[in-house]
Amino acid sequence: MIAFLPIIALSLKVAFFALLWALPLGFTLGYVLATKRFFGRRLLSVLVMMPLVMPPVVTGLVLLYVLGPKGAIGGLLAPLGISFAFNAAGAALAAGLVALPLIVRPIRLSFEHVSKDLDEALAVAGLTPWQRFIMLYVPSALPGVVAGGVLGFAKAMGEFGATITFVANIPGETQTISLAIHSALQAFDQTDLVVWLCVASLAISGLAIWGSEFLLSWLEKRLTGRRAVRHA
Amino acid sequence: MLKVDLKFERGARSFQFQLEMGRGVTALVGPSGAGKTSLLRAIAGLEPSKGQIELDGQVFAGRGKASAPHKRHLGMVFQEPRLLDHLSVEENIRLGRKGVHMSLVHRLGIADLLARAPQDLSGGEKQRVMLARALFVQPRALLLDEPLSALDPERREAMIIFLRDVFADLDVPVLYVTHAMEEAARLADQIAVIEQGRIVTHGPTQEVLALRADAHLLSRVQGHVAALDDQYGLAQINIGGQMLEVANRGLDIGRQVQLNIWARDVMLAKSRLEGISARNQLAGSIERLEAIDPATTDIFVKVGEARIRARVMTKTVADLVLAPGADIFVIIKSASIE
Repeated sequence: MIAFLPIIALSLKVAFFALLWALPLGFTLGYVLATKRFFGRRLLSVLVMMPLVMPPVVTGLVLLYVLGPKGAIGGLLAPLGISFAFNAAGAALAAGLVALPLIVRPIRLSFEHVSKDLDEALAVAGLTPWQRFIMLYVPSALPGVVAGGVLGFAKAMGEFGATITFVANIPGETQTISLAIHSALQAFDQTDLVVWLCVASLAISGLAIWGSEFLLSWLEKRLTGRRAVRHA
Repeated sequence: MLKVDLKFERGARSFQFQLEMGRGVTALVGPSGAGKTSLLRAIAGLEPSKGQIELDGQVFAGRGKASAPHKRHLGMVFQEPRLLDHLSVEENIRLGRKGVHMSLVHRLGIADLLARAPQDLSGGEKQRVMLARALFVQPRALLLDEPLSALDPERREAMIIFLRDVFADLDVPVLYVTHAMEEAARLADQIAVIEQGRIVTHGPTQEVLALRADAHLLSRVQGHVAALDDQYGLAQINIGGQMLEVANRGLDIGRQVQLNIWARDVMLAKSRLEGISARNQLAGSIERLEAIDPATTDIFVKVGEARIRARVMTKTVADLVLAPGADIFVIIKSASIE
């Protein structure tokens, strides 16, 4: 039971830092994929969605080969003192990458539903593309950001395969809830810890969904007329 | 001065428009698919086109270049209101742009609506807000694309009267797209008739109306408003001493009006009819008959000073023994007022 709270705290920290980079990137990717037409758009879309369908272990291996201490990019970063190997930053990287498709999808859908007619009307009224982005696109995308953020957070909290492959299962460093449950199950005397970790992860997931429902219905009221994007 | 010389293609159809207009209202009239809306959207920069668009010496499009819609300083009202639901009416008018709007919103009669949400407005109110948004930054031209098409007939009537006043105060070219010639006739100084992607007629409203192939089927009858019936919303029009009742749409007693009556909206009877719904019977005498084809005859009836044309079946002429000089009652099924 001693390890219980630090495990929860580490999981929250990893999920938070995963969202910190994956949510802004997901927002940008969602916007670009929904509104821009360019060469390689389909390829980008496929790349973004890959972690959703790839076995997480394979995602972890790819990360290891690219960003690991001897990886193609990891090797270049190491002299600069930047390392993702076997630390919490690496766990946040793996969790964020696996969560990215789930973040991009609802945001992209929100952007795709922005009315072309409204955009035209604002353009003729003299609003620059940037002003239209702030006045029309951002408010329309907010429900997608909430839905994507919650999905991404839940996915990052529960990530297992990519994390254990990329940064291993080090208590206090990379051992998040799922990894801790996995370890505790293999020990003989930690049934209590398993139960408590399960209860905690259920509570955190439930709270996140509950909070997002509140936020979504509030947004729906603020943006009336437009249906909020649910977890789809 | 707005100068347009455009060519574009949409699917299998091709369009070619040449148009010059100064301040005042020009109506673009034509059936759907004729290219009216495409022309308006090309002027606004919302659709690509080949050719040249020039407003007050500034070239919007030409020689392969086109300025973006937001750089053209135009105002546009669309078929359906395009308001942002998450902003108030006032924010929808301002759109973050600088300027003073109080006199404008008073003139448009929406001063009481500023704090409301767009979804609480009626269709007519929404279009007035769109008009306020369009006029807020003093556009260099105003474009309207069938702005009344989503309104019911009663609100449309009110909006036409309202738009006439608003247009009268404007000092820029106004381009008004509609498929209803009557709407164009009441709002525009100039009419351009569009058919199959080309402007076939362009000129002052009265001249264009007179050019219509069926203009001769329209009888014009002068009269003045004699009485109003507020309970049933009717106005009595005095035509050479005889009374005709029409729906009252903002008429005042004593006002001179012209009734436009189509030949097919007229029936004839040998004696005054009782117990029918047509409230409009005028006594007159037959002036002359004109055979159109073996089955159809037009009969000209003198009613006081006015002459009303009626289109009837030739068999009716024989059955009723209609001949010049005979007394006759003219029953008018509908008439529009100018």
